[in-house]
Amino acid sequence: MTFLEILLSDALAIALPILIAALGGLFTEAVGTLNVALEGLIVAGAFSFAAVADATGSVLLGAAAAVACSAGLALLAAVAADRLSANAFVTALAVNLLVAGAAGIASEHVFGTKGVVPLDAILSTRMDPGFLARIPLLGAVLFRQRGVTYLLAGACLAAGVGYSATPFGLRVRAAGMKEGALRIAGVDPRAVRYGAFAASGAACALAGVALAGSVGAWVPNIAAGRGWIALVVVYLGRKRPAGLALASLGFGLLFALSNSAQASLSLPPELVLALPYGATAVAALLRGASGRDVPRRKRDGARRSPG
Amino acid sequence: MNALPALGAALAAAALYILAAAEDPAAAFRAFFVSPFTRPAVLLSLVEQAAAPCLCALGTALVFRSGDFNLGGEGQAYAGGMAAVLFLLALPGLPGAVGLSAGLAVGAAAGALVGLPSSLSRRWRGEDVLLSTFLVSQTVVLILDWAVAGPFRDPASNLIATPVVSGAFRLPRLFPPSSLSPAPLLALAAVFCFDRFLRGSRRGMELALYGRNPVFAASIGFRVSAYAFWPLMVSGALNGLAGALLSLGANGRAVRGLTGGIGWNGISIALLAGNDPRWILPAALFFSWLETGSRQASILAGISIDVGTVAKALVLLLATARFVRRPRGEGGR
Repeated sequence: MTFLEILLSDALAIALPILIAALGGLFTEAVGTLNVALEGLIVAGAFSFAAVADATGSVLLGAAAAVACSAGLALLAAVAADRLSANAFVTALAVNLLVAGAAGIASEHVFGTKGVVPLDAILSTRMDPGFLARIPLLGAVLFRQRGVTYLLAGACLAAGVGYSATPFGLRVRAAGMKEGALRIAGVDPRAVRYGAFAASGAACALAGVALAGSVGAWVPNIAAGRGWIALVVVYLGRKRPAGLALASLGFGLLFALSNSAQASLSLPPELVLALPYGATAVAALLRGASGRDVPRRKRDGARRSPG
Repeated sequence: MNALPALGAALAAAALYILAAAEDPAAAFRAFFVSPFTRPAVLLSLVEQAAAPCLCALGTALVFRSGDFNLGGEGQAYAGGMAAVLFLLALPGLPGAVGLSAGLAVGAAAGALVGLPSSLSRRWRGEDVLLSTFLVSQTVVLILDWAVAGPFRDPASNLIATPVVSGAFRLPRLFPPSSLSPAPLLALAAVFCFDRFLRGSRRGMELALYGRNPVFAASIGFRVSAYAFWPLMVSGALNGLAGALLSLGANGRAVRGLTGGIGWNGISIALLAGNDPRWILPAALFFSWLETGSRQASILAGISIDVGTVAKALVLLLATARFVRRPRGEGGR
């Protein structure tokens, strides 16, 4: 493969886990409370996928367990915020911390180690569809990806369409804009909020499945910041699915470039990793999109913190 | 009173895990819950360990009062710890006490500096500091990870760490072998000052009002631009000071990843204390107990040290919950 083929193919493979997590985040942002637990939910999904797939020998069961686990955790944060009037932002941070601790404990009990666990059974191999793969550029980029990348592409498409063009997507957007309208239509806004959080959990679970599947191992802290970058993608993409896709691909390209820079120029890996964060920080500092004189719902949540 | 369910859940989770996983639950219980209090050296070290997170929590609470979240504690504290050490390595000739004080001040300044971009962005562009503090901090953490392992690394050491500063600049140990230093006194003084400011001063009241309703605060003529700027700077400085206390305390050097989650702990402690300075010290001591207990239990009884992290997560999950509904119109939504 040529340098460009490798670069674009890597960019796509890196972008999709971020995109699916960001789309999940978009559902929660639309109902008025951005779920900041994406990072932890990705890790939870990856761990349950690895553990259950390893125990049962079925990647499908593993993926189902991942979705159940991450969606359940996301619901936990939403329900704690809703039923106990806790701060939704704080409960989501708690889920991140909970996963960090629980994954360590569970890994010790399930795999007998807190370190990396190679699991050949979950490795998703690259496709080789013969003549299609030999199309210049496109062949390598579109047709020689790992199986999980196609799974994610389908999921992203479904999430994007689900958000923009289904009744559930409409209700999600209405819940954030005009809750009263939902009530008049006979829809329980609370159920819509829970649904949005469960969707964000399921989306992150798929990101986790893809990450574990593409390296064929359980790796501690496997999300490595992708959940946080996904949150920024929600804003940089202007809260529209197509915008999110563009922003994710941009980050995918940046990461892929830095990976290749790492290989050829032997730059220190810490500085290369700092690059996307730094770039995102600058974007967040200069975004200029939100005015403080128009308090948003999310900010109301922050102000309602006790004290 | 709101904090009690959070405390209970954390302790219950730790107890349940010990019951389920320990080979000798009685020994593990003793190690986790009792052993931190039976040996004076462990107890005094527990108090010492609460000091730095207490400072982080005070700053976090101040930013909360102004209606925002500072998620950049990790990077701010790391920068403070690193800057203090590099400053003292560069000026080894300073007299001990002067050097130590200057080192702490440099640490605080470095922490504030990491908070500066977010403060400016909020002050001038009205941006949320929530994401920007995290992103700036994460960038700083990665750059410092590189700096500690690369240009500033002590080649003679097995640790990924800078060289050790002169012994005269290290925090004095009051009761060896415990790690107790004057840091808890500093934390206590800071708690007192914050309490006076937030509850007893006009500016403190204005800040709280601004946090609740910035539009109203602006319309009655408060200097809201100052309240949009300074809380995060003070919080950054306190995080930097906490980092400097960590690096000049235990090791006398900046070790890779020296903060060990102190910024996140600061947030949890502030929330557990309901952002009330008077409760921040007890909350910090409680967290320190969870940490010491899980460490003791992992050493003495083979329990996973991560049980402390899970307990802290449960505190955070329930810290802002209200188990008794307030009457309508009072504080609620």
